[in-house]
Amino acid sequence: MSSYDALVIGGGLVGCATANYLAQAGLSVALIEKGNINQEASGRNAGSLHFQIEHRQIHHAQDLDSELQYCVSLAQLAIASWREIETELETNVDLAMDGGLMLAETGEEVSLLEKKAKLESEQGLNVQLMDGDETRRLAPYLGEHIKGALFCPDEGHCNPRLLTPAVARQAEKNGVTLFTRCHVTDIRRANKSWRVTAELNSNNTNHETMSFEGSIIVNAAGAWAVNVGRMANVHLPIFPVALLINVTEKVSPLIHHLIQHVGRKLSMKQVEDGNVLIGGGWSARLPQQRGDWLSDSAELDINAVRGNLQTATDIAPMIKQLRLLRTWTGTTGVTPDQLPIVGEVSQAPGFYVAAGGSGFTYGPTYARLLCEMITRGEPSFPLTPYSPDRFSHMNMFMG
Amino acid sequence: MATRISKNVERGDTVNIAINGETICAYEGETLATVLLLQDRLAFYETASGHKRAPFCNMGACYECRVHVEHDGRRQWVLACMTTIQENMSVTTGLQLPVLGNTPDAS
Repeated sequence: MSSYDALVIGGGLVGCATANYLAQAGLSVALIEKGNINQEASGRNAGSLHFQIEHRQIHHAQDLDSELQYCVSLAQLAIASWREIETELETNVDLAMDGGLMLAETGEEVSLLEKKAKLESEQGLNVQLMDGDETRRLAPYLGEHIKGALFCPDEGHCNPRLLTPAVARQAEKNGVTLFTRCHVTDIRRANKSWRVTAELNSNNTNHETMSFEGSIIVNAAGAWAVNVGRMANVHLPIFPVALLINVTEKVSPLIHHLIQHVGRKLSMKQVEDGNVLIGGGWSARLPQQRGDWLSDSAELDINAVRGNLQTATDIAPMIKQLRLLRTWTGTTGVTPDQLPIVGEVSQAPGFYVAAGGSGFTYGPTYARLLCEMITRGEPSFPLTPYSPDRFSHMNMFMG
Repeated sequence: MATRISKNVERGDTVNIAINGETICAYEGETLATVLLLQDRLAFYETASGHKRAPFCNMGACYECRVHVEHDGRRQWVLACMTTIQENMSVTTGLQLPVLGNTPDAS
């Protein structure tokens, strides 16, 4: 039995960053990952740093006034944390924060952007409304029919293949013990601590069973956080969603901003090496067996690939000249109210969760605030709207 | 340095191509990548940040073997590993990738 102060389950961005901050705060930490560090959504997403308010929030703005205010304040925290991240990690992670454009193609979409700009400015987010010509001056490759855009100068992108490994390296340097290929199989309460059983090299026939003990568990298992919750007898409403991303051949620098669309599923950026990444929420199909999800890679839907690329070439016809190199899939987790779940589960004291959405843009911020919650009892910025206790009725008979 | 195997190999006709202005004699059926690697010219193109790139897969998937070719009045970027050499082809290596949309051949 190995004893630690905290056991972090999940070697993605949130898990590695939480483990790192906990170790910096003086706790002994074990990080347990079923596969390899950065193997799932943290390493497979497109690396967008998006801070503008989402679609659904604009439509229900009146009901969501306090939620909007909260989101914008959290966005400002995240922006500040990204501006420091390369200094903090003492390494280059291809960070670009040259701004993001959310495009409008129709008059209706322009009205939506105007409404959005007003809300965001009122809440203190730095956004500028631009007409078609202003937008094209900033991004000359955009089609003549683009009617306008909302520009947020803090948006950008970062390389997901570099970020989490860099955080994991720093966590190790700060004393975190990393267990990879170590699949958690059981979580039980024993007096005031938690006991975790795991299989090391679980794919091999000669796997080794390991036991861990700690008073704190952090469930940072992303799309699979529901399974980790289940082992601790806790229900978490996090549902896996498989998405796809396309990458083109390299070309000279052309797209300098994060490109999104207010009415269509699109995210587009050009990375440091010159490839253009095209995604934006087009779905892939997650394999299942007798109704249970399998954690294998999702299958591509060629129509979704076409739809995604069509959207991109509609707004930037010039990129039709580029050849597609690859399309890959990854699996993220969503919650019923589309807000992440970050905090302690009341029915299971010492069991913390950080999963369920925008884990790349907000991952380092969730990790820092969760660490403050664990080590000081209270985070420097409230996490109340994200508390797992908003779903406590699901755990009335659990824990 | 790469060399041609010679034992039990029957080569086709010779083909002359120019690599960065220098005339090189190669053989029918060889790809541009083969000839460039035989010449020890490993920097096929350069990224915008100035990094030299060389082929990785030699089967058309990695796109790291792009070179600029002039032939029969046409100028274009090609994958060296997927391009069979032809008489009087003129190849330029080590260039930076094209700026999209500026010239019709910049694909």
